[in-house]
Amino acid sequence: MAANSGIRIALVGNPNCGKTALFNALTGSKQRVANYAGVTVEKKHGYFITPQHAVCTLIDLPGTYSLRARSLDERITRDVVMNQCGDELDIDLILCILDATNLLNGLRLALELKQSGKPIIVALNMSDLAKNMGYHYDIAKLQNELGCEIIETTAIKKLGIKELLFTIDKIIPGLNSNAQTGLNTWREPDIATSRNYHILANQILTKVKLSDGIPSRWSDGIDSVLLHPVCGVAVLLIVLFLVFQSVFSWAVILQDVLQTALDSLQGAVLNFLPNSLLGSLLSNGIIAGVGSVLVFLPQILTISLFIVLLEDSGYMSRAAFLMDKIMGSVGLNSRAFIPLLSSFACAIPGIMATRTIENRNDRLITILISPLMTCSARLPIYTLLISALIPARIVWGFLNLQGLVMFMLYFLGMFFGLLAAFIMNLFFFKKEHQVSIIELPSYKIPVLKNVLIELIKPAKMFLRRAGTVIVAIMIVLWFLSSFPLAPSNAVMPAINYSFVGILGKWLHPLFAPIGFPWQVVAALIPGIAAREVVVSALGTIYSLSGNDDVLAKGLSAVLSQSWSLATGLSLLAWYVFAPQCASTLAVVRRETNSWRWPCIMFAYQIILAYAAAFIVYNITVWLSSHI
Amino acid sequence: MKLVNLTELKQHDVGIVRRLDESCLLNKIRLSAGEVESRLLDMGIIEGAQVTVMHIGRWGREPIAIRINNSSSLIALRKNEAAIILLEMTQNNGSK
Repeated sequence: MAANSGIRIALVGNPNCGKTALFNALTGSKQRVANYAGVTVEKKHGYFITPQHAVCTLIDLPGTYSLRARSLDERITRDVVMNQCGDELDIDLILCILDATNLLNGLRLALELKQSGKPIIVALNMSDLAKNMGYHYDIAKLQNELGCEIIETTAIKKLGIKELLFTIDKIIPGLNSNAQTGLNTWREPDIATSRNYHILANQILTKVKLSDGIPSRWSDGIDSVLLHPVCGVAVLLIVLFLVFQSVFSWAVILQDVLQTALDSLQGAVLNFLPNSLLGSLLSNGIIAGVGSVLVFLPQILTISLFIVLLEDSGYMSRAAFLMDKIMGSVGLNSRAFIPLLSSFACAIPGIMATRTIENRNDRLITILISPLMTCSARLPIYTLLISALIPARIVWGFLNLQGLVMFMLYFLGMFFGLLAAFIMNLFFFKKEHQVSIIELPSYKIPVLKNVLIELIKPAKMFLRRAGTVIVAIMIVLWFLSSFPLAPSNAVMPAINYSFVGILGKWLHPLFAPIGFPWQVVAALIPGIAAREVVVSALGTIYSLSGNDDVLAKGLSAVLSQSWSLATGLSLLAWYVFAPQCASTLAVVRRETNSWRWPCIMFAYQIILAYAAAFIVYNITVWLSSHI
Repeated sequence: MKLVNLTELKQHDVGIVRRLDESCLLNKIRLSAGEVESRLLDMGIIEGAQVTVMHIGRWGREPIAIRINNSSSLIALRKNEAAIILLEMTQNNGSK
């Protein structure tokens, strides 16, 4: 049997009901992630084979409370369940997963799903947890009331999975006859219908409930600390500090290892193909370019690890609860907190994480400001400029001045990001009130296997991008900075004669008011591909060579001699706001499905960057001539 | 029977939802009628549900985290949505 002629099963359930765990338990590592055509919601498919050798495709659909479809994610769920996604996604069976510790909302969704006329199997998940807490149900009666098979599962312990597979086998023979498939009577529920679903669900629950549980005491206990107005905020700050600490100091160790490996690879290629264009393309273009992106993999993995752990344990929604007031005061949705936090590692996972925001305007604003959160790619530039321009002095007894400046730069980005959100909300987006509801699931201990599966996803995506788009851009940039070739009697480094050099000089008048010499302008051009490339581009232009360390030391010496303080500060200010690398813009294009938003993002950031650099440059010039 | 809205409850207070009234929204700019109500219904906030106030945010007394019946998870709302939930208070544990 060909894989595409197998049984297609849609996995539907409320958020936080253990859907991902069940998906992983059924499919293991046989998963594929793609995008739905036209929209950018992640399409997660997995495969498994039943004991009777039926090949099944399991489609993991975004969690939802109702098929009323408020967000992009929820719309996908509805369209797949209602077979509105084309033949490829024509599903045969719905696997509806309910949280046994929170049955009412799940039952409501199950009743709505039944209207689709599709055959349904219900997995009553978190069963053993529910029993421990005292929730007991009459399964046979529930089966009768809902009119479908019910299997008790505990996905994180893989309990009930076998029974689930047997039940699927039992249902498969009847699938192709129309006997099991009823008419689709679903209509978008109005308030009265919503109420009716609930009343019906409540009636069923009363009938099947044998004993009512006591919500987890220890979860409530943890909450009384973690949601405490004072302790909670203190813990949140410590957690955030730990996340940053690990990204900026621990991940860097791995990064150095990678960098050393790449440097030696680069050296080996140059040794093997000395003085040839091919060697230069391979080593300076591709290896250096892809490498400059690849070295960020440890940081991306580290921040993803924290995000998965915080999410799986249930803490993330607590953090959103604590930050809600700040988010709300600039008009942001409470769900914007997670994307913005991720953006400190890299705006790309941050922008992708905005999908959970229901309101389109909220989502767009969050996307537009996420690049203002200082991403890790800006660190090399900050480090270089700060070490070149700011004296390593101790101020106020204990603060390192360089560290203080670094912190200021982060703070500026954050501050202006929130300010930009406020302004966009006030003037540019149709004022629309948002319903902001956060569900705080009870705490759970993350399961290693699920964490690993979730970690591999961003890593794969990042590597795929580094291997495709970025290679292409790097080749183009290498071409621009290598051709035309320098004349044989050249006195300056070759890049001065290249298109990049020419373009840099040609664009220079535009940047003169903010104090950038043409060399900086030329270095900004490759910086469009990936910001961290600016450092190595500056190195090339000032004809330095050697590894990064030597480069940084040499550069900061050259820079502190040849640049005025004003130029340096102006460049720092520029980089707080400057438009993101090309890959961010590409992701915004993909996520918003139009070129409009990346263009707007590019424009507003370049205006901000120019204005900030202009102000900083002129004030510094004025100050240094008057003091 | 005196009804109070959810924003008036203190931590640990318990009430039974009696009515959802969108005319109590503090801010309803460009919001289609029934939108907030159906969102709350989706989350299980419906007439007859028992609501326990678990946590209240520090600044401006929002968001408000509530437990509905005795579900294992909590729901956090902002004041604006909480204002439309009218309850009959059954247990007053809030600090005086």
